[in-house]
Amino acid sequence: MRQKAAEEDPELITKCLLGDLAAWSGFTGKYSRLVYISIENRLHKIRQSLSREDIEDIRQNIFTDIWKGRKLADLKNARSLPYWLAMVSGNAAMEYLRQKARREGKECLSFDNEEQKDNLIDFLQSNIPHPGERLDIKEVASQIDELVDHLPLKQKLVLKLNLYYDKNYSEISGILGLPSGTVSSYIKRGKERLKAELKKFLK
Amino acid sequence: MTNRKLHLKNHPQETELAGFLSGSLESKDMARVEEHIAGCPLCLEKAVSSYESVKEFKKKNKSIKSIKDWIMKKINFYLILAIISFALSFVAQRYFLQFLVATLILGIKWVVDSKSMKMLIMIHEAWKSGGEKEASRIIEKFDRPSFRI
Repeated sequence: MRQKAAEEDPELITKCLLGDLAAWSGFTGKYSRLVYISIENRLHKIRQSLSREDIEDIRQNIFTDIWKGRKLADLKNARSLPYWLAMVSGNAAMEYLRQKARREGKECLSFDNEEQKDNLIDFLQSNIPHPGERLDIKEVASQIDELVDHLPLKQKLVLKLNLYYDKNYSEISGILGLPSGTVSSYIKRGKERLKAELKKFLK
Repeated sequence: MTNRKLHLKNHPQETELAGFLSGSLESKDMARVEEHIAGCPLCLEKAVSSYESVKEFKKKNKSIKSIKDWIMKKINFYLILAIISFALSFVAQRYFLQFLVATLILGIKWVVDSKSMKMLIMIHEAWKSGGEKEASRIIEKFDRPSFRI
């Protein structure tokens, strides 16, 4: 099934770039749902919301830009199409929110990923022995940040995906292309090291 | 610190990040992007969001396809047999009556099969109210051995 999808996309992309409207209609039909999902996921992460009409506007703009700008030509491999489209959709949602804020004369908000902060704070609260005591969780979180940054490259990446994004072994394995055994070992070692450093810090 | 700032400025293009996620970059580019996203929260965030969205998209597509396939399987079996039988009643005229009776029986089986119709109505209602998740739940319920005739 995965192979069949991979074979269809290269043909679809080629035909779209040649201006084939039927192929373009097939492309938008196939990937509209992905665009909606990407926009909604992006909004969810930054705890913002838009009306159905606004999301439809964003979707239209995305496909118009791709068609007019022949952006499919930038893709080197058809396998990366869905991931690229998801990123473009997320960016388009952010840009729409910024423009909307400007039009309404509101401050241009910084769209932080609140979920990321919450995940790290959850980890800390479950690993700090006496959470009720006078302790600035945010200070500890920035200490953790610093510690993670000094880990070896792959271990750092795996741990960030696990701690900040709450990704499980198979998801991390899918994102980084690492065997799940390796991911599991990196997470175990990384967390043990962080807990040991945390204990030192709390003393 | 200066090196880090420089590194963070050289953000990979979205096409490169997408290539990283799909495993379609050359190995030196994979290593470069991996090193960058390990130190750049912005690009890591983009990569993770993209991965999550594509995963959800593929899952939804799979469940829609499997629900459609399941429904078509149930609808088509007796209906197709009834149509074939009807066609054969004209071809093999000697057995016209027999094929016609077979058509009737298969047609009645398809229409009156209370389980199939009930299932289809329940699935349709579930789909209208709760989307694919709800529809899949109903299908799973009917697919359990205790519900088979």
